Amino acid sequence: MNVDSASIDLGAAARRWTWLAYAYGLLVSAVLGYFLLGLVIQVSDSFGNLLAVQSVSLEDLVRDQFSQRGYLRPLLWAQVKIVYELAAGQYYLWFRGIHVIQVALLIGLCVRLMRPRTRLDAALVPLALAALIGSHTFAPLVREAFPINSFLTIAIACVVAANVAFGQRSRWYSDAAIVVLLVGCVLTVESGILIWVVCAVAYFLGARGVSRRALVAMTACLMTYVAARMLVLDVGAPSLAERASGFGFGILEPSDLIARFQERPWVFYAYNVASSISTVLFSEPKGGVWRFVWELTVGNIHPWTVVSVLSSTAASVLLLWFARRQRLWMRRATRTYEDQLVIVFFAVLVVNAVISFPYTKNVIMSPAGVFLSVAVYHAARAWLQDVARQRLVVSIVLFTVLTCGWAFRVAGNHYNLRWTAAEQRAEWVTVDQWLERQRITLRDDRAHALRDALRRDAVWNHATPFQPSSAWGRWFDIDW
Amino acid sequence: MTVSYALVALPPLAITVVLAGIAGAELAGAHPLTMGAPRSVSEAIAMRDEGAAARFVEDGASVTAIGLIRRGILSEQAVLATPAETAVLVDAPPALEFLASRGVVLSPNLACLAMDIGARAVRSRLGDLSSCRAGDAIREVLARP
Repeated sequence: MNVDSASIDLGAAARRWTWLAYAYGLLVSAVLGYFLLGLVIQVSDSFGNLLAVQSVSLEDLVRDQFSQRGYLRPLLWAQVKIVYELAAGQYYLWFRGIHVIQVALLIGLCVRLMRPRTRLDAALVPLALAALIGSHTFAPLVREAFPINSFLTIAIACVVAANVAFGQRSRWYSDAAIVVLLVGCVLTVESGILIWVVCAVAYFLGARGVSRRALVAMTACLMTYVAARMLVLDVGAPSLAERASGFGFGILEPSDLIARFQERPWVFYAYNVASSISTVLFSEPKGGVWRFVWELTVGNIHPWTVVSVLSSTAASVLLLWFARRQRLWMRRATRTYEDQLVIVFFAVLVVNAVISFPYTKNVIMSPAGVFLSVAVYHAARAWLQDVARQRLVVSIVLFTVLTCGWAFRVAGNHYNLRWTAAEQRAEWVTVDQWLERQRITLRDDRAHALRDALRRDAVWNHATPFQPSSAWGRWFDIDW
Repeated sequence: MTVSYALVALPPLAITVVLAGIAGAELAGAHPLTMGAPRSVSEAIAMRDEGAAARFVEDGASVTAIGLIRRGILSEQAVLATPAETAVLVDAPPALEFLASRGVVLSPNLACLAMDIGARAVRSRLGDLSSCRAGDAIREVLARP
């Protein structure tokens, strides 16, 4: 065999493993998509939003968002309005269809970022995708929608940005697209800033998929956004009175938050930032509540809690080992693609946590959760290639916890999708009482028609998926 | 080495295959690992499927009739209960709210049942009664032939 035919063979083998990895991603997407189609458009967070966009023109809707306090999300509402109009009554099909497509896109883009080429790579893709869809930061991306899950949009955009930034070279159209993506995402949800973080860190590390010119343009856009938000529109950040938030072992209502932190809000903000970092690395606290610690103190440990903490901790141990071994913070000249992606994960983690300072929620940390899965993939590959044989027992323990733990969490998230499907329909059964409680009046025939159409979809057109036996409940039934 | 790679992939792969099997079986009309669709208003409420309960009621089913809840759903034995009793047994205030909106009278006996089984959420809706004799209400439900 000469050199050319050998390299052709290697190329063909690499392609085979790449396609196998994508095929697995497709299978995971199809299964998750099937479970997602069991959900309907929810009453809370969705029906109210659809009513809000129903009788307002797109222009007015977007303009109104520029005078809000605490949030600046005009394109989030624009997206809901546009899809609502396009749906023309087919709300389930459009909104649920978009959710399924979003999830498939995210999974596909994550596999692309992993660049699987070998047998080992292909073997690690199931673990990495389990770390993606089994995470408690991923669960709200699929259990909720408003009725488009804007946090999922941002997570996808961040992975798109990483794929572009680590491309072979920049092109004018990819540069233009990434600037537009940043502007669109920042005006959708504040976490859109992370797109700039991904591109800037990648550039700093030597990746040239996004040009210097594009990065300057992105920086200018971002500075304009911050200046406009702070100085012109005076939007500010959500106040302590905005919403309840987890703290310690419980949830504090806005009045409690004001009573405890009005004089020194920075303590609460620092808690939120630290909690957000910790929740991605250790699955504890969740939503700011130290559930595992509390369960330990009362001696009543739930399997769901302990598995999540152990599996996340194992992933973090792997990442810290990788960072230490590769000397990520020092070895500038010889950094590999794997090193760069792990550094991007740490950068996204920190910035994601910092911009979550006003309140902590699992879903806000979803971009960091997504990059964790990719980082775990690369760190696991390095361990299995270089260390596994020398440290066999440690490897067996570490990978048993990792693979079994994350697989368990995947099963739990699917179980909870079934439970959510039933819960959403229960909301529709008593939607009129919900409207009363929220003091919402259906003002015209269109509003009544919308309620009737969505209720018909939930109760009649799309029956509740079969509910798992209650015997499984004690393993998975924790509502995060 | 190939074996160790396969072992790394196996747990998440196995879960995905099981979930794919469940999806495929459901599309083919089966219902593995579940009790299948509920068969009465009471059973729908017991399975926390208020959507199905509403469908039964809007299709003409009685909101007060005693219904069979198959074994394995509420307990190891089959249970005969009215929809309102079932809502108490699974501590589901939304189901109770739905039944009340459909004209079901929330009798004092339901409050006694809630106290018997420690259904906290519905107790806050129904209130406590001092006239309840502990255990009578739950015994009455379980004693049905």
